[in-house]
Amino acid sequence: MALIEVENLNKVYKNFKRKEGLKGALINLFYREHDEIRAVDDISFSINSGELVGYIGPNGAGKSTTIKMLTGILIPTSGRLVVNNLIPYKQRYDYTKQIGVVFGQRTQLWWDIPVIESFKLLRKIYQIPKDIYDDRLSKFKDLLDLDPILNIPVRKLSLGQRMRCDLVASLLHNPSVLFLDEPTIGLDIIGKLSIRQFLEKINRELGITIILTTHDLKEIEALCKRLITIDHGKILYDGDIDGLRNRYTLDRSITFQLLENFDFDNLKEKLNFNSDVKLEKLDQLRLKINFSNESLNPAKIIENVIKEIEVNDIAIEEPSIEEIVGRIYSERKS
Amino acid sequence: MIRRFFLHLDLAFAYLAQFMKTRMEYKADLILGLVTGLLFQLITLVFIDVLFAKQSITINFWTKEQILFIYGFSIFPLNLFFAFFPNLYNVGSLYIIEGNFDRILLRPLNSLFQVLMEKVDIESLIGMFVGGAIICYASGELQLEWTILRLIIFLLMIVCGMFIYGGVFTAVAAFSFWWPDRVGLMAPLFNMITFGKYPVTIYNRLLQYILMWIIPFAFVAFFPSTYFLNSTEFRNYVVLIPIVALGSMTVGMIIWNLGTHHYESTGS
Repeated sequence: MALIEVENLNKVYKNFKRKEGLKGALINLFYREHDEIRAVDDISFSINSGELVGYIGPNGAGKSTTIKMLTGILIPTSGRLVVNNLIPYKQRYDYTKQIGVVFGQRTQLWWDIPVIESFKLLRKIYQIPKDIYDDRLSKFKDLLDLDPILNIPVRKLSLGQRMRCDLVASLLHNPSVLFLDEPTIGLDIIGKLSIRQFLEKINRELGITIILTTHDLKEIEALCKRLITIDHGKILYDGDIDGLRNRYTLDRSITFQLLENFDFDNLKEKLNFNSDVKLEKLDQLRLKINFSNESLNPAKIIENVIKEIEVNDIAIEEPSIEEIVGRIYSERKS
Repeated sequence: MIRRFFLHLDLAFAYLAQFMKTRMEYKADLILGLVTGLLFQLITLVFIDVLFAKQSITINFWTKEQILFIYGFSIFPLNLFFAFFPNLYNVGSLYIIEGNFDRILLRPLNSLFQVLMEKVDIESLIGMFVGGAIICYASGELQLEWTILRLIIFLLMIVCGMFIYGGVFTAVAAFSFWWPDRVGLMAPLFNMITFGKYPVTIYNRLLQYILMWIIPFAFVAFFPSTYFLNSTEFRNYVVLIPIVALGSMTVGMIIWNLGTHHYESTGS
């Protein structure tokens, strides 16, 4: 059975229309109109133990609302949501002991006291036995290089340092699922990389299931095998990243760097590709060929070109995951 | 259930220790807070002196000294409340509107407990010196006798008073879950506290009823004081004090728990 099961999950917000001015405020007291906003619209998915899933979507797509329902902060309007046989918002005491949560936007540590004091209080809250706590802390400390910052109050930490501490704080009680909402937001490349490696390691070695939202698609590409895309509260894609590439085929292209000037029209005639393949003369020495996956494979194109003309260098351009996702979003809107 | 209670009790001390560490991080702030707190209380004393010194009137059969005693008594539960429940004032803004309640819901602890424990206002306890001074003076004038038993009952009653305030303001704070508002009902109800500092019999019938059975502030200072003033007229109400305290806190917690189900968090 799957670890996380989501079936026909909905979250509807009622938004009160506020009337302006003093008179409006008085009217608001007695009579309120409201709009319904469907933040999450009938979504279903299931996640198995040990998976590392990326959950992406543009701002306001319903990502955070989903994560907040999964973590028990919000109560679903309707639908089924079970994690590890528990209903998050109903069995909050038992459930919160089994999950770790990190919000990139706000810390869960105590702002004014040294990091280590926060950890000690968490040990008490989660009733972690001393030896297990010591063991886990020393392991994470080494992995994330926390030793120099453990005695500094949280407010004096840099964003990257704080993020590393927040991650450790969320893992001290040995959760089986870790939810991360934009864990690398605002971090520099080194900070991102260190967190990425850490997540990969705990997923692989400790078997912790990880669900992460992010706007950084490179992160998803590097970390996650599975991707769930959401927009306007609905799931657009759920599957692996290669599958996404294949489904949303974009034009790929090959650029040939030639050894000598060439006659474009002549070459075009000789190659005689079908109409899906577009040739383009970039300059005297460069030829670009655009094609889609279905029309021809790249090897065939290269083979044909080399037969006709002497080539110095070849560059194949893949559409980036960013372009693909960008296209999905814009398709939804139109 | 019992285990959970003891876990929370244990954690109350852990949280308090944590909070004191935070205060020590800002030593100057703490000292300044204590000094201004003391100054404020001295000013209050002078003000009371001016208010009561020149008059020898009795209000509604209550002598000046008796009213002074009730006033002095009222300072104790109020300052205990200020010391241990100050965060209720921030529930609407800091926790609900700004979404910090997310963090509260992610921990395996009672949500009200966590909110209360995240801020303690130790300076408020200084105010009890003023209350003590007033009670000592009034007791002397009225020739009241203090026994160990009376002292224990006194401590019990001021704690009950704190929980009566605590329950009422927990309920009021919880309304912000339905109608997110930065201050809301808090301010008008805070003003109601003043009514509890004087004999409830001086008010009209409607207000008396409200202060006894709806917002039971009469049980915070007035009824307990009558016990120490050896008035037998209100004996039945004195016995009710612990029950009112328990009831107030229970109603507050029920409304709070209902409210948490309406929490809507913030965008991302």
